Amino acid sequence: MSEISYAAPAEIDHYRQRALVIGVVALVLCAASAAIIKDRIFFSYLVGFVFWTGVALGSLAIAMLHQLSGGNWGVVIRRLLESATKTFPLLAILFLPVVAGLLFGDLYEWAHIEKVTGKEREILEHKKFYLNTLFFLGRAAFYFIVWISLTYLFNKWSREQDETGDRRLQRKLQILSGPGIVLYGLTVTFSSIDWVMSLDPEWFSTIFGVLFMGGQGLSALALIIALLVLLSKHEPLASKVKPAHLHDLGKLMLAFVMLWAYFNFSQFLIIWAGNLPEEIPWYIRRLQGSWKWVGLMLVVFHFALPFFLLLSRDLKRNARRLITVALLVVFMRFIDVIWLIAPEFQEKDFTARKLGIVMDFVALIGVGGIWMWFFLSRLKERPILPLHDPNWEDAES
Amino acid sequence: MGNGELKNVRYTAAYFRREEDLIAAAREARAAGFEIHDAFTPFPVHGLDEAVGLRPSRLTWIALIAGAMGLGAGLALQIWTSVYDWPLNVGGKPFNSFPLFIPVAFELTVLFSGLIAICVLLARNRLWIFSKRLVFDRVTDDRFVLVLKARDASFDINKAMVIFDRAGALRVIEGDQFV
Amino acid sequence: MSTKDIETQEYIPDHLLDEPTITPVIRPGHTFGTVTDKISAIALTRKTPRGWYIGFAIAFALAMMLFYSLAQLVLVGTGIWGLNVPVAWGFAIINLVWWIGIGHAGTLISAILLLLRQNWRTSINRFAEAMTLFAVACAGIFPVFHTGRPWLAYWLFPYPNTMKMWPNFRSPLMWDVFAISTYASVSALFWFIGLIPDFATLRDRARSRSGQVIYGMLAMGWRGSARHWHRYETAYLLLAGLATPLVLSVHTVISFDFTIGITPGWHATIFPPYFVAGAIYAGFAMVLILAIPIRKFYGLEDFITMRHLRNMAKIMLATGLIVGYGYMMEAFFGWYSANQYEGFMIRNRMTGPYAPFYWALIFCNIIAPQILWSRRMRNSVPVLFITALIVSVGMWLERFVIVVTSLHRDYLPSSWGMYRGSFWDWSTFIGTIGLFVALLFLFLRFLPMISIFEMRTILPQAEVKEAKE
Repeated sequence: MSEISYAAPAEIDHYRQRALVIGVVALVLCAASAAIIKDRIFFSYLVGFVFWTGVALGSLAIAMLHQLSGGNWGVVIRRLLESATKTFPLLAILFLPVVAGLLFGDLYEWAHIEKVTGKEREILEHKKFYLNTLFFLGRAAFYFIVWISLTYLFNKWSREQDETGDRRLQRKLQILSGPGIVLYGLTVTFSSIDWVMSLDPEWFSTIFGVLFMGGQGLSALALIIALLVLLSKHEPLASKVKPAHLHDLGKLMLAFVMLWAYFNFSQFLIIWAGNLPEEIPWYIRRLQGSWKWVGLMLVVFHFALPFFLLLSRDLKRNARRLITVALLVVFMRFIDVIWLIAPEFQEKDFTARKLGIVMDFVALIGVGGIWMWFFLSRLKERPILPLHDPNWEDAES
Repeated sequence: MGNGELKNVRYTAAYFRREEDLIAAAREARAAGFEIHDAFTPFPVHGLDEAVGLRPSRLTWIALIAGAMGLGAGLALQIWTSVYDWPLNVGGKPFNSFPLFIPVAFELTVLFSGLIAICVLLARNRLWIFSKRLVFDRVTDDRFVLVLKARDASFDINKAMVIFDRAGALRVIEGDQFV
Repeated sequence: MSTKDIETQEYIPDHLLDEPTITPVIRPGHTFGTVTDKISAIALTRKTPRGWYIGFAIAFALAMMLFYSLAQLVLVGTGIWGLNVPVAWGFAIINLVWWIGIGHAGTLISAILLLLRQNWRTSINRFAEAMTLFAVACAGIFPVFHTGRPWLAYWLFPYPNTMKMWPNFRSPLMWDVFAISTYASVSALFWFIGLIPDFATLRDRARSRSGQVIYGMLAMGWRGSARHWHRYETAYLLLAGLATPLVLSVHTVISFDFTIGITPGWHATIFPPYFVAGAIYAGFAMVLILAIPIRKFYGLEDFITMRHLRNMAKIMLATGLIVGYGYMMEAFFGWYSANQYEGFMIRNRMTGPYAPFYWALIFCNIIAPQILWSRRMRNSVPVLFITALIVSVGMWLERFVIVVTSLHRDYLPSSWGMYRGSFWDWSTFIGTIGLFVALLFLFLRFLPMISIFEMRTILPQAEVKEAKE
């Protein structure tokens, strides 16, 4: 092809080391804060874990969707997506503190069924078949096995495609992606039920898995757009990423912002209108006191503002403005995950409640730092652009 | 420039077989200082706007404003009728059930935006059912036509012919009172 | 080797199958002129085939049956439909949802695929949009006549009246009024705007005076001015951008008819996305059911190629899986909710008196379409046609099961009942199919069923130019 080297820019090493240091410091802070806020730290950690697992999962879904649909937009971010999907082994290790929260902490109420009484106990007895420690861990192991095997195969064939350019590999990737998306949908649904919905074991909402898929896709896309813009300051991306690519990615982000709002509004409207005692408490917890303002913030800054900004064609084609919106969306994704998880901490310990919110951010940065370090290390290993993607020729013109 | 009406001004029209010929001719004619009246094509030709020198359409803004009007009207209608004019208790829901008003407000946003955008499109293009306008031969089939204004004596038909020929014009016609 | 040979041969290497050279969206050899000729001839010069008269006569007879049934309903009352407590909502809502859902594929093809720059949509969008309009018309009949006094249907709209009453905007049935009327208006305009340049082509080619006058009026003086195209394209994209969220909102509002209440089996948060997916699923099945005979009958294999059919099959498979996901979530949460009513409803659906319908729908919507995973099957026109038929039936059964199973077992066993449509229910339903097909026949005869001007833009010579720029 051309003379430009497609190796990842050397600047990645800077980012990589910084990320590791920040991550480790933040996680140490988290561990230290356990002395003050006790069990609340598990909730904070869960926030960090759920968010960054979501980024990896969203990347997997978008990478597979791109295989199935084709298109220019995916070529420039394909390697970033693939590197993000390689983080599942790390995430499996990062899951261990959640297991600790389950076994030794008070993270999941249903794990300590003996402490529960009355009507609530009856409900938990009914769900015991599904919500019990052993089955929970077995399912988690199953999810990680599925994700790791899917991404292993995907990246293996993708690497071979880089090396040989055999067009049959494209077909193989597509054949993997079809059932892969199905497996993704099922594992994300049940993992979101296990890890987040079961924080309140009485509550249920059938759209919850879909809500997670939309959120994960958005987290991944926004973060990858931000990274792409950062990396495109350097070669080889500098000469390859065109406004048209950003335009398409911006449109995709707009679509995800709208989908996220649509799923959330659907859930809210149906539960609000139904006003049933087994459903509405989940929203009451999130729409009373200070949480109400967080909810309002989500409506304005997670939906309305990015929506209106992304309608503009000029904004989508301008790297500097697009990255601002992408970072806003990433930040609001943080807030959304906090809003989903943190209000479930019900104890009357006000220090833990207040400081807990701060620790939510620290945990997001902590897990994120480690994740980013691992991710950038994987990114460095391979050319930053896919050499033989069939959509490549189009993308170059 | 008006909207395609050309009163008492002579015009010169060149026929082309391919869109790239049309674009080439339009670019050259403009560079040579001719005034392009309009071009006629059987389908929207990519890059012709720029070759003929058209500014981006403001229709999107009109639609955005119309949508905002629809949203406002939808919310105002529902809140006024359900909260102020005749509040009714239905199923114990609050009079101002704001979340439940969103679907209708959304539909009205789309309705206003769509209807007004289309009305503006028809009005700006002067499209109406009794329109009697000159249509160039086969321009709704497989021919591309470029029309230059011949406003005064400075119009040099020979120079124009050279440009047309170079771009591969099939034939050139002249006329007046182009409506 | 011509393209035709490649298409019928046994084995195409996997990785080559979707290469545009192997299965193009338009067969090679066409020019602007031949495209115009071939499509406009159907409306203008070709002799109306005898098959058209026979088909139209049958459809027209069925449409007459519809009008007779509706007249009967107006004369006698809604009692002639099999509705009664506890199942007070039967065919009327089932058919409304079914028809509206079918309509959605038209908007999806014309709007969403346009935004996604899928140029294969071009040869099917026109008749898919027509299908949308006719389906919405059929859908609208049911709620309007279900009110019992359709001449008072305007009461649904908010207007200052002598009783000084306003509609209840907290009711999802009111939202239906706004959603469906907006959908009908915007789809009709989108369709009409798309037709204007083609009307101009027909006007300029029509030889009969009446054709020139009628098509001339419809073309509204269109003459392909660059200025006009410029605004036109902006407006067309804009409408596509509006129609996309609109189509989602319409079926979402339809799903709110069920979910806003608290009836077990209806009050489920998954309904909005799963209804939308189901609508697209049924809609694409209907597009296939129509496209396959039309391309055969009018010899349009050049324009509606295997690539179109394959792509539609893929979309059907994808949306079918989402629908399957919806069923799975309903079943799982029926148990997980630990709510005895939800649990009973799901058990009753699976094992109660309507269980055969439930399992039939699982077969039609979930099991049968899995055949589309196979590339061979996606390449077989008969398989696609039969699968699409099965899915259409399955989606009707789905709405039947959702509507009836939640109602027929009330909270008190003393108010349990069974529901089956009466003769008039069936005659109305089959009559709307007749009306739909009759309108479609008229459309095929008098209007360009494929967008001529858009087909010109996807001709290879147009592409060559674009690549060069």
